[in-house]
Amino acid sequence: MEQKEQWINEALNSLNGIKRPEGNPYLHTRIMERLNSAKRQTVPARMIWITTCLLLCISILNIFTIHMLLPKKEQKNELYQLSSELIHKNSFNYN
Amino acid sequence: MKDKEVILQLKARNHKTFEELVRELQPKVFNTCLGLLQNEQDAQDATQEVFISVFQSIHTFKGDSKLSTWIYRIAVTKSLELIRMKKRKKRFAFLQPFLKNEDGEFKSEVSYFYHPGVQLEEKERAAILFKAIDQLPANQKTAFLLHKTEDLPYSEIAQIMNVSVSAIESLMVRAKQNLRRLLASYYEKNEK
Repeated sequence: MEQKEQWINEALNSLNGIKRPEGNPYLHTRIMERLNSAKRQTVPARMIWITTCLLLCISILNIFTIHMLLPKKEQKNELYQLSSELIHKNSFNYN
Repeated sequence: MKDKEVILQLKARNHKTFEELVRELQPKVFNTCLGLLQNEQDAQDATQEVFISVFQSIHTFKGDSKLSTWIYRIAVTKSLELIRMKKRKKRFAFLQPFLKNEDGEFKSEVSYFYHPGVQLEEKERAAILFKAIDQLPANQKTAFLLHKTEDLPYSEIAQIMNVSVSAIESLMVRAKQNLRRLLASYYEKNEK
């Protein structure tokens, strides 16, 4: 048991005196390259495709909705007939 | 150069100041990322991301903490993001050996992480410890590593993690308890 505890304590202390490793000496150069290439970048092609598809979907939905909302030919005729009857009735009442 | 002066120069996009900042803080950032990610290539990539983020978002820094504290915070965030992304990728991997049972016993994966800054005589034990650290919850892992590998005081760790000092004390206690449990499990399986 004591041996186990000692082993655990030694493992927990194994990071004592740890040193920071040397990093990449070319890090700054790489960062500046990435920052400069990000500046030069135009709108990515993927973004253009996504926007085009979205606009297309919205247009199709709009056309479909307008088509559904517009009264059909038979409905138009019924409306015309009803309005004619009403006009006729009104003129009859006055006479 | 004092923090205020450095911040003003960075906001003015002074490249020389930025280069000096990178040179000065790279070891701290790299070491932080290395402890969390346990992979040198990932740590290099994360370090690059950290400094790019510093350059691009310096205008958002309010100056309510030290510049180094803010940069440590970015390093921790970027590293944890990378860990989460790698875990998501793993979840969809078709071949994933079952290594851990439901009791939370020590994962004995094939590769161990040998931190280049650990003393030679401690390399093996440190590798086992890092494997145990990797199994801690993110907040316990972060607090423990910032204290042990960066030698930061609890007050600074609290600022980095945006919590109270007592919260850090609690995290450290729980981290050590969990590490003891994991190391004990490893000892039972391998060292007896």
